[in-house]
Amino acid sequence: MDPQAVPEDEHQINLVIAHDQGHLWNVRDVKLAWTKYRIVGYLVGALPRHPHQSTMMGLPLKLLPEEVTLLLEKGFAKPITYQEMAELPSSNILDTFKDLREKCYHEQIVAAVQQRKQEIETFVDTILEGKAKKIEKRKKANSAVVEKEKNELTRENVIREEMRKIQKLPEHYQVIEIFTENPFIDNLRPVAADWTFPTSKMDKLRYAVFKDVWEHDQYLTAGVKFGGDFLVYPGDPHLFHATFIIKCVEDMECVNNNDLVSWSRIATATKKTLVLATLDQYGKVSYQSFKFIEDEFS
Amino acid sequence: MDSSLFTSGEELLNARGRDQTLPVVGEKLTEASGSWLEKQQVEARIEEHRRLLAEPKFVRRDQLATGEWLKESGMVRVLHETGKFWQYMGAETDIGKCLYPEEALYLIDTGELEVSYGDVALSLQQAQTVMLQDAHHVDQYLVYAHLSRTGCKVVRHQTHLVYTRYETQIGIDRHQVSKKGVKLKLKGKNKSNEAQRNKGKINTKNEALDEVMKEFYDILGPSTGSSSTPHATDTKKENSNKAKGDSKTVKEHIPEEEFTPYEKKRRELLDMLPTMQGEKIMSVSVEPKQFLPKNSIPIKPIYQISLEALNYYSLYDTTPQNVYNRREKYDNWNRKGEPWCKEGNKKYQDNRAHWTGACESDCTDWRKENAQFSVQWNKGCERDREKRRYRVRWDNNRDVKRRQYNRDGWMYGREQRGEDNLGWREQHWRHHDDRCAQPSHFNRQALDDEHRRDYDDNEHERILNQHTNERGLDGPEEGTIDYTKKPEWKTRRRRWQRKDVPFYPSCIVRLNRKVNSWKEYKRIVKEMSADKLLADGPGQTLWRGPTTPLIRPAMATSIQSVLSGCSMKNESIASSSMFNKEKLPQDMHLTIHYDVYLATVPYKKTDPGLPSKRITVMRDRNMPTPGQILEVSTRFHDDVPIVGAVVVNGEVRLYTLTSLTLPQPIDSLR
Repeated sequence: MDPQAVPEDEHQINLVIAHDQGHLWNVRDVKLAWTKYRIVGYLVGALPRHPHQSTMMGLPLKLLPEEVTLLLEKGFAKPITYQEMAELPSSNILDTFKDLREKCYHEQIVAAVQQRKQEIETFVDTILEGKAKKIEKRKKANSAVVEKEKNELTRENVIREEMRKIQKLPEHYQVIEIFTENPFIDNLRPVAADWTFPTSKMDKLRYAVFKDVWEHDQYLTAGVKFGGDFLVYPGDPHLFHATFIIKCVEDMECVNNNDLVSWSRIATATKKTLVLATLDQYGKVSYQSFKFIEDEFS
Repeated sequence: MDSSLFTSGEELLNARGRDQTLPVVGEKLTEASGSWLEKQQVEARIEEHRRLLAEPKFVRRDQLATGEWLKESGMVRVLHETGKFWQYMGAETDIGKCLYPEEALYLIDTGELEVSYGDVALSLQQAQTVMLQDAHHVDQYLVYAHLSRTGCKVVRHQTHLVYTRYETQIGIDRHQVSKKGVKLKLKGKNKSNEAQRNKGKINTKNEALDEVMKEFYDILGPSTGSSSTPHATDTKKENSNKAKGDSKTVKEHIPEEEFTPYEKKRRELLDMLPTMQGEKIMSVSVEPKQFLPKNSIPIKPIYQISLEALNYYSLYDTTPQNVYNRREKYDNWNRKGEPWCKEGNKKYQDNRAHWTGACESDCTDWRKENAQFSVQWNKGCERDREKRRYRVRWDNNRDVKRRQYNRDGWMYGREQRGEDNLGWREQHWRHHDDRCAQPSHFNRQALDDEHRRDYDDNEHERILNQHTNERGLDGPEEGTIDYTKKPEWKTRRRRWQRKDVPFYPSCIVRLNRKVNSWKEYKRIVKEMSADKLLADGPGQTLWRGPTTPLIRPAMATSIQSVLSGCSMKNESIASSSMFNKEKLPQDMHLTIHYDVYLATVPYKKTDPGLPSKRITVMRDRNMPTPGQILEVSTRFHDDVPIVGAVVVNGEVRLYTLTSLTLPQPIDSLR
């Protein structure tokens, strides 16, 4: 992929900036970020099918500040914010909401009838058998009436009779959807948002390292789990473990030896390699990896 | 209008039967070969993940709680409640049940609550925009959600569950502290969210704390009723731990604010309470405002005063030590036959500090004029109505005011005395008031002719002088109080300190402090008798006085007990850390945001108990400094661990900030 080419609109991500943080609320944008732009992010919402656990999370996808800056710099995303979301909804939105809720309810009524019909058709043979047995039992009492009933006992009649019994889906049984992304977002006016990261020296160093590693076709995520700044993956994090823990230091010479030992022990214990990254005198990122090796002679 | 973001009714209905279990994630690889197979695997996993994320959140209408967002109050009012979340979430307010923003957000996220704003249901995206103020607020919400997902019950930090050392010592923390009817006031809010929320928080916090303190005072002694009819009662000082009041309603979730200087002073005052000794405690209600000095602001409506301590420490006291037995005194008077009537008595036995007992209802005309004064009359003897008591009011500045009486024992009415008229006693007191350059003398002009005739200047001087000691200050009569010896009221209950009373070891010894069991009592008595033996034994010079050896002979049973005698107590460490607390600027103190109750700990709003952990959310990914850790870990006098939550790019990391006590190496000393 040519990083200089400006992508088309359909490949543009709507990056919503709120409270100085960037989130992706749309599944389409999330997949685009994962597949096309190698931006991984971190899911912070509840998974719809199983909300009360924290191993597998759902939308929204929170992006690192470095990821946001990269997307903006490369032109892959537009930073937007919606002022109208903080205000009361307009009458237009209110009417649309009510109409759509009503429409959803009616669709559910129809769908409920269809579901019930399918159930009946599935079990019509069983129902037929049961009715036939009952008729046999009553045959002895009044054979003439029973004969008539027996003739009328057909699949269609049974289905018709069961369908007549179907009641309309009551309102309190209707299924309500709770939205993650604002369903009226297309009707809101997006406003260009300000994004000022990076500002401090350390932030600039971190972003330079992030961008350099990204441009080497690697995947990066936050490294706080292992005490580092970033984790580097050889491929998509869905399939691969991280191989490097990157720690950004301003001056390689000033790194404390004890810290170096503790960082490298953590990396080795988790089967990764510690990499210290810094900016050289020319402003280019330079790397130094460390591996902890047990003394062969001890 | 593009309605593609709305799932169709059919899909929603079909989604009811979807599998709710989590899919199993396959193994991950460590090295990438770039093969076609790996690409297919990646695509499959991403697609499966995308499908999981795209599933709609839905709930049946009758199982969905509803609420509405109140922008001015910053809360969500619950309109329809379902499920069990109310058991540990939300707060009672004057407009109904309300949820805090982070609680409402979490319930929206898990699909249990629908919040409407302007009659339109809020999506999670819009709810976060509307309910959260800034990045730190977002971090707090993430911490809340992270802990709640694991099953913990997370509530806002409740300051009324914070007890001082003294309160823990007397066991007040074991009892119900909430008061019925304490609710957040949200009605009629016109101001901004932030100002209103803070105002509501502070008011409820102070209100709740005051209620706690009020209940504490009630435990010390029965209250005297409303302040509109103040009268003093003698009460025994009780360290009873009976929980007062009826069943309580939901307590407020009061987030901790930094303590104001007022609050600090109040807590210091509370810590002073253990120094009060003496038998009789008087509950004194504060006078109505018009009778107080102009600039005085009473902190509380009822004050507890130790009568004997007051008398002992008061410079104005002139009471002979045998006056406390009022009955005896009256009998003496009766026997002596010295009525204080106008005709007979030239002596002016004034200015004894008598404290009133229960207010008697039979009163004279002047009492109708001055309804706040209580006078006890000797029933059946009109001549003895001169027996008068002074009402002592003790306000914050420890000024003692006396009411003006004439020689007949009649209280001067306000009209007679005049608004600015001071009693001769008061003006004498004002000699010591720096604000008065010259004492104003008794305004005799205010007296009517009859009383002025009766007033004897010489008598006045004698009375003034009798209360003036060598330094010219208002003081006790000579020989009235001997400050070199322990006063009788202090030694009265200590039988072994009276030389003339033999010490009976078989009798129940009264202790100064409360004990929780017979075992503890016996241990303390045993220690006391051992101390007595030491103090009377051959090494008494060692054991008498304020400085005694650290290790007592009774401790010489094991090295462990000897070491425990030598070890520094926790209180001293805590008190030395007070220095650090003061050195740490107030704005650097960590704010406790949440109290967490683990999933296995039963939680009831009406009686939550101590939390399992207290959480403070750090700002801007910073870790707490050592000073902050020391301050926050010594702020509370209970064993609840403090946990610092650091949110880094959406990931919540929890770090325990409580100090550990390392075990003592006893083995190395043997």
